[in-house]
This record gives sequence, C-alpha cells and structure tokens, in this order.
Amino acid sequence: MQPKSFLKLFYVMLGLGLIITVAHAAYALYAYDNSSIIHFVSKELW
Amino acid sequence: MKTKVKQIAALLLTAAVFISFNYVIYALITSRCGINFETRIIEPERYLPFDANAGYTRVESDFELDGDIPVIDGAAALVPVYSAIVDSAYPKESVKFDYATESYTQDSAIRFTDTIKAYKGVTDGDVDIILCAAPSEQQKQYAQDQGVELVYVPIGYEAFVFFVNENNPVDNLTKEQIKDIYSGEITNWADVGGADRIINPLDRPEGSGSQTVMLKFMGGREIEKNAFGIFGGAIGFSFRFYVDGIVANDGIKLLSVNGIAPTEENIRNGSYPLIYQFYAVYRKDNDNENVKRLVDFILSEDGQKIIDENGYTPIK
Repeated sequence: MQPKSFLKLFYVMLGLGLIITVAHAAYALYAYDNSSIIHFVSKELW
Repeated sequence: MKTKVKQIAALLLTAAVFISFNYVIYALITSRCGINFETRIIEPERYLPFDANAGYTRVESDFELDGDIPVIDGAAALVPVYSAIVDSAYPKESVKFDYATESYTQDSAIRFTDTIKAYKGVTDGDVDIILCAAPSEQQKQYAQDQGVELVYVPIGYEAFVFFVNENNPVDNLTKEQIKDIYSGEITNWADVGGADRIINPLDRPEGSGSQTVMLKFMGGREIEKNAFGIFGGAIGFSFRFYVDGIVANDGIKLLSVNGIAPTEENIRNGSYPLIYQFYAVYRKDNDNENVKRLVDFILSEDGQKIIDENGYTPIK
C-alpha cells in the first residue's frame, strides 16, 4: 500500500473509531444516569 | 513486504484499541442499564384501583368519600398503599386511567408520579394530599417561598435499607462504616471484610424520598462519589418494601445494619436501627373537608390495616 493510501485509511479508521467511542460513551453516561440503581447493581459482575 | 505487514499491524492495532475500549464500557455500564432505561420502574397499571388483578392488598371498609374527592399522589414506593386507600375509600368513577399512555388522566382523583413531583404538586395545589417520606430542605424551602404551610401527619414506618449485588460477600455493615463509605473514607470492600475491590457508593436524585433520608442519616457529612467507582462493587439505598416487595430483584441482597437484618419482625419490634416515618401531607389552607376525613380514615383501624397489609408498619 502506498504511504498516502495507508494514511488515508488509517485516518478514516481513527475517525470512525473516535465517533463510535464518543457516541457510546455519551449513551452509557445517559443510561447510567437514568437507569434503576437496583437493576444496575443486580447486573454487576462478581 | 515488510512495510505492508507494518501497515496492516497498525490498522489492526488501532481497531483492537477501539474495540477493547468500547467492550469495557459495554461490560461495565451499557449492558447493566440496557433493559431498564427508566428511573421509575413500576407500571401504574399493576396497582390500578378497583382492578381485580391489582398488585395491592384490598381491605374492606364501610368508609367512602363523597362530594369533593381529594386528589391523591405520593412516593413510588407507597403506590400499593395509596392505591389500596383509593380502592377502599374513593368512588370508582373518580379513577380515570388512559391505557394508551399508561397513565392517569389529569381529571383522575389518583395520580402516580414520585416524591419530587408529589411535593411540588401538593405545594402548588395541583393535588390535595400526598403520601411520602419527610421533605428535603429544598422542598420545605419551596413551600415556604410559595407562602404555603404543609401539614405532616405520620401514618406509618418503613425501614431504610442498603443493598449490594447478591454475590458480594459482605452481608453486614455498621452505621459508621456506611457513613465512612458514603463520605469517601472507606473506599475498598476489603476494609469492611469483603473482597479487594473498589466500593461504588450510588445515590439518588436530589429531593427523592430515599435521598432525603440518606442525607439525614449522614448527619451533615458530605456524600463523596468515587471517580473510579464504576470499576468496583456498588452499594445502593432505598426503602425496604420498594426493594423487596415491589421491585423484588433477585440479583441483589439487603444488608444487615449493626448486625440486624431489615426483616418485617425486626422493623416491628424496633430492633432494626434505620426506621423512618412516612406521612400524609396536605396544605394547611386546604378547605376540602374530605382531606381531613381521609387522614382520619388512614389513621383508623381499617386505614392502618391497609398500611400493614401492603408491606409497611402501621403508626398505631
């Protein structure tokens, strides 16, 4: 792969990864704030 | 060829970092919130007055209100009690439920909100009487700012409980240990006889009945949240019947406090150390005579039996 093509692919992957991660983190925070704490504790992994 | 291998490795490594990070968020948070995306987890239909299959215990009574029917609301944890009161004392036609929106209509004599909205509703005059835990400082201040005097009539007792995951090895905490956990002085379960794991002390929205009781229990000590608590084992608080009788989630267990389990017997004999009153609350200037008649009914033998039969401890 040409260095230019590789960088293009790398930045696309980085951008997509960041968008998905930020969206997931925002959703998780919202869900955490709005979830029943009883349900949240019951699903804890031990 | 060597460059190509390095390029592919770099791309795979980047993907692996994102996948791993998102998996950790999913395992620790998202998967535990998924199917229960509501703060309130009670379906009002389950406690619909006059419904033969309703989830509260009926008590037969000769008392029935007529004329100006008081609008009643209250804490989510007390919905079996005030639904049973409506069943016993209200005319059937005063209950209006919209099955499409799964909520009571605005002209219904019974509402179903929560402590925060109920206190606002009774202060603003939108409802006549509410059944709730004691008010928060903000709720008292709001009433004062509106020039409203609220009357608080104790009608029953309930245990304030702490719960953890059923697999957490800790079964008992002292009151002092709980205060130390919530003020950030104890941060690991190993310090209270449990596993070596961070403690995640969970709290509730400000103004909710359980949060107000928690602040009272803390006696002025600030609640400190652990920034890394999400990686640890949680502890939460609520009222006993809400956890044990209404939500009844098998994945959690109630903790003993000072060695005393929050059983019905220990609440009745007063040995469980965290027992609080709950109240019928109304505006002092409410001139609907049925409000006081209703309070008298709640304090009567039949009214106290309703409280008793629906999971709580009567005041008399």
